Amino acid sequence: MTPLHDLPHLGSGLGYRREIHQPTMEHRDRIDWLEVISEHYLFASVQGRERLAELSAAFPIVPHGIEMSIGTPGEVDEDYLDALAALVEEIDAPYFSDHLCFTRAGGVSLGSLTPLPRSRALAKELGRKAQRIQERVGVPFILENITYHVDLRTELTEAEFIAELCEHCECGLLLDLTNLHTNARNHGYDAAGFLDAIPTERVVQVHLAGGTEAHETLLDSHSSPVPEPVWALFDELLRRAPLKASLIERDQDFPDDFGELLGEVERARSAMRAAAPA
Amino acid sequence: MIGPAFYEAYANVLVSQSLLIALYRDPDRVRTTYGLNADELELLRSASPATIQLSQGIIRGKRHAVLEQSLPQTMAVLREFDGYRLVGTYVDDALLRPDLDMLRPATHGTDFVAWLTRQEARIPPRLLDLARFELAIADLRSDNAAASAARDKAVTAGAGGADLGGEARPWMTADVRVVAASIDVLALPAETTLAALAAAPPRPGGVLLRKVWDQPRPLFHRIGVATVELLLRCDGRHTVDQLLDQVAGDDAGHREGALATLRGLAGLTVLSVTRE
Ligand SMILES: [Fe+2]
Repeated sequence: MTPLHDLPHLGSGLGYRREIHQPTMEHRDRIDWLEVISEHYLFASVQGRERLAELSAAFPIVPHGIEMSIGTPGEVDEDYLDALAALVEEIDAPYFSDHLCFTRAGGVSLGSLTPLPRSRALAKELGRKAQRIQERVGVPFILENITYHVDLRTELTEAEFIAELCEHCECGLLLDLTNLHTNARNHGYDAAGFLDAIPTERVVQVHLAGGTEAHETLLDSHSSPVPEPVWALFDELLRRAPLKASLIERDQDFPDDFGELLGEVERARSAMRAAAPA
Repeated sequence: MIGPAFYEAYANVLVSQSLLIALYRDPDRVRTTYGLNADELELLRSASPATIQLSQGIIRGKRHAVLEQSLPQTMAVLREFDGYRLVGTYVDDALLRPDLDMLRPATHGTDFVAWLTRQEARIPPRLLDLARFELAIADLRSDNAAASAARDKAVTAGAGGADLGGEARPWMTADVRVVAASIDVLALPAETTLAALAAAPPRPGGVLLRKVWDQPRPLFHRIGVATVELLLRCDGRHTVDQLLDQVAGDDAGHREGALATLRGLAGLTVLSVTRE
């Protein structure tokens, strides 16, 4: 297993979406790498697989899952993990990612990243589970913090839960700075304090996105430019830890001018370069 | 101690308004329904109802988005029709069904159109024609066999059609779909409205859809009622003679016409044949 610090430096990437296929390919020289949604390709049609081959010939690709549901009691579905391992091998992915949450339980498929009942016992259980998944797939597994709304009164804070989980596995972290900013605002905690509490040396990659606001609640809709407080958190994180990769996430309301997304990709790259030790 | 029962109750509360109300007003009901222990019930009740309600809306929204992706115009008409009230009843029900998993969102469109078919009296007239047509497009987009067949045909372009002797059993190739319709769905505006559906002149017949390798949209061909009926019977189980018996009986002229149609479709590689 590649140690996290030996993973390749991917640089500044963009979330691949079919809607922006053409400009993404046209501007491949300005985008360092792509993240694809694993589930779009795990059981993909012949055509989907050919598209993936086209992407993977042009960019390094990392598969990002949304439906592994590591938090669901029991083991992750074997067929899912087999397909994920095959996908990782097919595109020669340096690592793969998914969320620290659950999306299904008791026969209900929520289709939404749902917060866990954070306890020390659960962090230990899921840390070991993440380690098993990583070993099964064969490359490092990095786990992402979600935006959450349900405010269960749990034993551990989100940051404590993540830190505890890291004690029981060698997996990395995908720190979604927009989710951090969103949760900090919605639940009234200090984002810098969160960074103090998690093992930032485990952060391999970040997500940067923009959301919306409704009734004084921030929503992670991935539909607008990355807001300034998130860029500030990015700089703050870069002061604390060297990163392998950053990624601009946009899922809807794609700008007419693709240059806007490229501008964000470039801004992230500059920030990472400025922070890199000379 | 937090166990699987907690997750089951939690997930169900996130998709059920009545369960959410019960959680705060009649917690014993929730406790016994899911076999929760005291810690689990307390933890579940520690969440504020407003945050659960917000999450319920987000979860329902994801199902709407899946349906909008496969049936965009049908959904636009349903929104205009009653502000998604009817869709909402479907979604509430679908959320409780283990067979509809978000890991495979493509299955949702098929299930929704089957459900709409059962609601025919409650939905705008002719909406089902549009829904079935959009479903066929979505189905061709996600079907692996359709993509393979389209690719094979792209490679062997110009190869002759199947030979249709009386004992041959024709079937539609995997890259083809046939949809029966009471109106000309191809003549509907790109952004369909209730008024456009209502104003569409009756035109019984249908559409033949063919997937084209490397293209997101299939090719469409208007076909008449007789061709629709003939094609829908081409499932590889009936011989050509049986098909002719079914659609044309003893009428020699009709039989000849139907056979010519079959030959034409085979020549276009829409049909392939099995022989015993
Ligand atoms: Fe993210």
